[in-house]
Amino acid sequence: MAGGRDYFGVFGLERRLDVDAGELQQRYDQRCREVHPDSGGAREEFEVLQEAFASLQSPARRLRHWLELAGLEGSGRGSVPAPVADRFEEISSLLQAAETVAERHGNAQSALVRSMAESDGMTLQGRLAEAREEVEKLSGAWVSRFGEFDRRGPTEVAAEAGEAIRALTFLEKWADQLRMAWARAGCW
Amino acid sequence: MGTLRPVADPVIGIDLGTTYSAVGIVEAGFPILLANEEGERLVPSVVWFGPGEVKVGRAALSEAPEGRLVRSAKRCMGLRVNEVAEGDLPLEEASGGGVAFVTAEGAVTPVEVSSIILTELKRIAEFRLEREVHRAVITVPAYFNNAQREATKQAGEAAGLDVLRLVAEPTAAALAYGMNKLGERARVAVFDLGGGTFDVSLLEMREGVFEVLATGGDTRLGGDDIDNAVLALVARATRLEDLRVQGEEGDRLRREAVRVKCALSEVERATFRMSSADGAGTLETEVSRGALEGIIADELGTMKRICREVLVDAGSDPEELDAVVMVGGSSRIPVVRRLAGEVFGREPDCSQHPDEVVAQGAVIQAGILAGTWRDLLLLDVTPLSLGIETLGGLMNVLIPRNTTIPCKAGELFTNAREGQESMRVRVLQGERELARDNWELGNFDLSFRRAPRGKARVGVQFSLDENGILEVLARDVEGGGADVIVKIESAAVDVSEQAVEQMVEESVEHAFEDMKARVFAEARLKAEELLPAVEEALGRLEAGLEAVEHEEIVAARREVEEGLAGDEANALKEAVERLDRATEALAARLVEDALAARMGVGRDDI
Repeated sequence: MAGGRDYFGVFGLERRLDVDAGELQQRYDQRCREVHPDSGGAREEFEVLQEAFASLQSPARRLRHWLELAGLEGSGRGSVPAPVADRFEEISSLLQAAETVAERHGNAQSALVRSMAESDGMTLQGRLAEAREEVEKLSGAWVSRFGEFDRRGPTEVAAEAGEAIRALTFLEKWADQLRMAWARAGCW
Repeated sequence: MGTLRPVADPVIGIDLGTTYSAVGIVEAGFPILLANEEGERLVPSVVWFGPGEVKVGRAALSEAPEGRLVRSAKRCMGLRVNEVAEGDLPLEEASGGGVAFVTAEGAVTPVEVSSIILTELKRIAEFRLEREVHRAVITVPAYFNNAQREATKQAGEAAGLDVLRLVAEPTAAALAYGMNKLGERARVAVFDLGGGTFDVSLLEMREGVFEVLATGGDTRLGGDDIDNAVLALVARATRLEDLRVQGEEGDRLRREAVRVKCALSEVERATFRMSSADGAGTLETEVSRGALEGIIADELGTMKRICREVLVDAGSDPEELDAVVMVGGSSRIPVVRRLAGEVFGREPDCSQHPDEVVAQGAVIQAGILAGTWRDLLLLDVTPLSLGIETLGGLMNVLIPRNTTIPCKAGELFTNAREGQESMRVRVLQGERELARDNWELGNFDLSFRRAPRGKARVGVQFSLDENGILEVLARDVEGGGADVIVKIESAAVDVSEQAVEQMVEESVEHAFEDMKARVFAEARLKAEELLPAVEEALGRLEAGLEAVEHEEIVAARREVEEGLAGDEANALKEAVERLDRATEALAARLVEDALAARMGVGRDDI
């Protein structure tokens, strides 16, 4: 929780959703140099910087923070939009399959079993990469509306933003899990 | 490289290594390692305790060891007596649960030994700089836990140094590596195999910011273990059941093992040769590089596993890396370089001086803290998850591993019963589900005001500082008032617990008193895994198997089935090994096929 703090302000940014990732990274690096204890900064300030960065880096959390600053709440309750809900089954089972293969590989006692798990892993890696692209596309569709949200303002878009937050929260979690599973399958 | 300002009170950078240490300072914008009177920049991390005198480094090595020479003290820093195996010297428990080396002059702790080495390094710096030195940056393995880090800090303070920062060794190496590549953005793995510790870190370097993405390691894996492997080979070849590694003969054995190990990095075969103390006989045997690589298979497997975990933690594919930098004396070993190359999918970068690069990095960090470079920054992480034990004996993670430090996490505690006055909290570091499988950092008692159940509230803040060391603050949420620093009691070694553990181990041993039963059981497990796998593999790849190959597999499989039905341990073991070998080619082809499918090409194109 921000505790009333304006995370955009921490980076000298306006309260606009449409933030360029590269820009944010550069400002983060610069602020790090300024407030890290090594440069004589206070530990609390550094910790706030970390929270602010994590918040703004995630589109879901950025959107929620933007609403909070306007005194509104991004509703956690409500349905998850169809394009995301439809993917739930497929992505869950893909992640589960990756987990199973990783376990088989880890527990293997013979070269044969290990190599079968490796070969399964390679097949999976292809599917994992596809799923990652899909998830990125879906996230991108929501994030591309941020400019529009900025123009219309938080009060007007509160409901739609709530829906976006729910969708993006799932998508971000999947992106993370798929990335880890993909990395694991890639380094056997 | 930024404007240089004269530094009033210099900060030295120290690599406190398991086998070698070094000290340096920034001079005219460059990290320079300082040499002693003999012109040596590397000081062996050994201390000799004589009657009324102490010697460090090469001077210590020139004395007769005779139960007076302490080496590799770093391996025992911050450890409890039940966590260490005896090496050259006998060990005993020190007050507070740590260990102490029993020398001819009495017991001495690893912190004391390290502080003596640090005192010598301080002396060298003052000798070269012709002025007093008070402040230092000291390196630690990235994977050092809380107690090991605190012990290092204490050693520095005992040597009269204000330890400004503990910097992780692979991070320091990355700093030295990346210093003259600041304009480029890069993702780099640092593979650091030193005398006693192994660390792998994945970093991103962007315009002067060095950010650690993930780190992993083993604080009890290093060159020393490879020395022991050489001795094991010698013992096996000469049929000496146990080579005495303690005492003067032990010391000469170790030195010869080190010489052979280093030689095998240059040549394929080397002769281990040592005459006995009384000159009566000579121990002589040839050691081959292949044999050494074979006997350290477990260690190599561990390194591989850790590298892969770090890649996963960082969510990174090996292809995304720009370099893998080899650090540490033992990274010179050919099989280690091959392993790093294999896991990270590229030729390892051996451009850095493996023994000096960490020290150079420590010096650069010292320079950063002294204000020499304003645009450089190290963002490091905590290597181990930090948490507390909860009801049910589980570990509740408060700060996950690879979180950027400094960082903090808070937890609210309340009284479970009316009038409960205190609650014991056990603080843990590690990745396992169960509290007892993790390493206990310590514990503390939280006090509650008298209140109905659930009404007393104490907020506890767990804070990891820039050194990765824990500080705990508690605050009575209901009563207001200031934060109280909570003193963590180091986990006492419960001797009876130790005895119980030993008992359990012994009973497991006795259960397998019959070696044959154990061999059979192990072979059976492997057979039970292999048989269905062979079925499946044949199903996937039957076409394209040569008749001869297929016949051998069928024959070997039949032998395994017969072995399972019988009770001859060795027969089953050999049959399983035969099947394993018979399916090797099959295994390789499965992987090739999958790779080809992935790349969308024919198998023969690979």
